[in-house]
Amino acid sequence: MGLRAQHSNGFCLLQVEDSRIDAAGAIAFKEAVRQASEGGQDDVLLDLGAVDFIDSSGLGAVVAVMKALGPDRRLHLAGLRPAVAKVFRLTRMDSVFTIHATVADALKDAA
Amino acid sequence: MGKTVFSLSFTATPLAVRRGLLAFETYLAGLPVASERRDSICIVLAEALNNITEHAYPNATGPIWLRAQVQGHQFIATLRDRGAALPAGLLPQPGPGTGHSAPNPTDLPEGGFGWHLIRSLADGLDHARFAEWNELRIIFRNAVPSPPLP
Repeated sequence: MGLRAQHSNGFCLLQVEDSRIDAAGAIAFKEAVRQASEGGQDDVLLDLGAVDFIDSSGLGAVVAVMKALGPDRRLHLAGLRPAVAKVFRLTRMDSVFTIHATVADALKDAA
Repeated sequence: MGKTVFSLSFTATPLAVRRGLLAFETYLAGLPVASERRDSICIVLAEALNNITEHAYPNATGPIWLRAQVQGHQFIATLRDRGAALPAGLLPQPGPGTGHSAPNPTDLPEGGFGWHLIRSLADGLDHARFAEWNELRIIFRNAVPSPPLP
């Protein structure tokens, strides 16, 4: 699972470089996010702008990532493409994440 | 204009399912189906294929056959496997308030979304058990506004 990490405006910004978060990649995704975010205090901003497709296993992995961050660090999502947004909307899981249209919006809101 | 029939068999593993879906997406992109509807069809197929991998072949793997075709304005996908029978009553009909319900988001569920997504996005579901086979037929109505000539 390709994940590019940087720190920006008080966020640990994680850019997913794979085009799918699916059953074949869900475990690797969780592990990559855990490694990239562990030890920090900042909220995590997950950039999904390159992700064309997510299935329920991938959605479960995003939920697991949020839980693993614990109560003091929030997970923000940005750049949801149409098929990804649809999965979040239909499962109503869009109600449990802070979702920004773009990474730039998320950084602006935080500034 | 792409071909109107797609047929592929692969092994029920997550990686083979991903490759099968990628081949299917290429086929679907060649059909006159709106992109919003293409997304829905791909989500449903992904969930149905994951169900086979996880539940029809829980301790081993086996073959999956995926066939899809345009039939008039409908798009129909048929999935076959030789795994465990789908438990009676598990196959919910499309539409709200049928079958088992979606997980509650406030419980922060990490699974259990699959059938809910299938039911939300498919227009018809038809399961049959033939000897050692499962066959799931998934129907998307009005998916093809201007069907290609056969």
